[in-house]
Amino acid sequence: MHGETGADLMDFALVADKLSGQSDEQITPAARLIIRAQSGDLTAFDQLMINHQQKVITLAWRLLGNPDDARDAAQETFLRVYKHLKNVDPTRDFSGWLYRIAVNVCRDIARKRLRGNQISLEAAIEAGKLIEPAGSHNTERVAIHAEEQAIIARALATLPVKERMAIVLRDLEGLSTEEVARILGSSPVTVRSQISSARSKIRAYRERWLKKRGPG
Amino acid sequence: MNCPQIEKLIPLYSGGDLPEEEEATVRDHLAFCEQCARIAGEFEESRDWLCGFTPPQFDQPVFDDLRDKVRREITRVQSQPSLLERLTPLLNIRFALVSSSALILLVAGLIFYINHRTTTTNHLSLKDKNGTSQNNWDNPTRNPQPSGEQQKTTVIRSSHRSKIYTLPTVSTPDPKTIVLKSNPFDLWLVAGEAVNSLIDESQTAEVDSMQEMMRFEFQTADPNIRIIWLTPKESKHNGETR
Repeated sequence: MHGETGADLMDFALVADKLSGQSDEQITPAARLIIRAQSGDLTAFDQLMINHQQKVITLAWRLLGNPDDARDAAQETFLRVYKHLKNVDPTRDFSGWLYRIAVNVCRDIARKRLRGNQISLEAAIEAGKLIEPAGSHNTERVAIHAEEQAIIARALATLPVKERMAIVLRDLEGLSTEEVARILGSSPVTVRSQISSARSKIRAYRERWLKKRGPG
Repeated sequence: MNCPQIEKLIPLYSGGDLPEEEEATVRDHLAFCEQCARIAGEFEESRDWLCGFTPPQFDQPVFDDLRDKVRREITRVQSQPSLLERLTPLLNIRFALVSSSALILLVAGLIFYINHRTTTTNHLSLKDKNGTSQNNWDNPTRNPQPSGEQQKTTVIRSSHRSKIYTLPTVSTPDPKTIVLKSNPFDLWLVAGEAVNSLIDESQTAEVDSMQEMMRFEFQTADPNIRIIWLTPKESKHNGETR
């Protein structure tokens, strides 16, 4: 305890109060961080953002297919997180809650984009906004990779929104069916059906693309 | 399970989304069915292909900018005064005095209006056709009947409903008595007292003026006013009283 500031002690008291009745194993550093952020500590909230920003922006990009929209979605997601942080139980699955907010934000942005006649995912692909080259080397390999990425994005864009969300969360984010169901607010049976349908469509799209491209 | 049934399960099998029992069934089937095994292979390739959908490398400045924007937005929201804080400057003594005075005036005006309206409602006046006031009854204003045998049209005016009720034929053998001959079932407001209709309109419609009538007389609280009500006598067919 030597050298701890008053604020640290207050934080500790707050954490202890919030987690009263929890065993020591359950008090994770993440839970402690959430509690500090809940008490209005902006540094703790900043750390929470650092811990999850990559995950949020990647998910948003996969769902929206546009880096600008992905940045906007990530920003809005963290603002909503801050707004509702006080209602979160720090011992429960924070990531799942964060995913849920991010998915809802992406859904809202996609809906707004459709309403406002803004560019669709496919239009973004056409405009070359979807793919940001990994580096400055404009080699043939990079070009092929970029083309393939665009084809995958186009395949995803053909899916209905719910199926796209289900397959992105399950196959690209690697979440379990149950977790996906919780995030999307539906049942695992529904999610399985959506995933099955989405995989069949992606496979059919890829087969068509391969036939069109020809051997090699 | 046959091939079509297995084919339906292959998309979920390729991602490991089947329950153990079904997964084992599909695996056993794929071991000897070349066509289904080929389809399963395509699904796995497609899934691997999809997993190659790698996001772009977002640079550190992108994340810094993102966090900076979020922090600024949080600060902006926090620095905005709450509704209570915005109302506080208005909550001084002068504001309280003015608003309470306005409220008192409003309530007083409302009470006066309601009282005035009630008084007007209760005020009924009946006048005779010639304009001579008799027993507080006003002159008729509509449908004047031709004079003869002391018959006159009497109008009862109700300011409450803003309607003028006209009694088509009223004989007044006694100026203090009004006889309602042909339509005794309407609702009358007599000298400030509401007398509800005793018989509804459907019965009124059946009344035949040639029928033998029964005569009822009601003395109101006002000794100058008596209501005489004529109604058909008891029916001979069923003994009902109208």
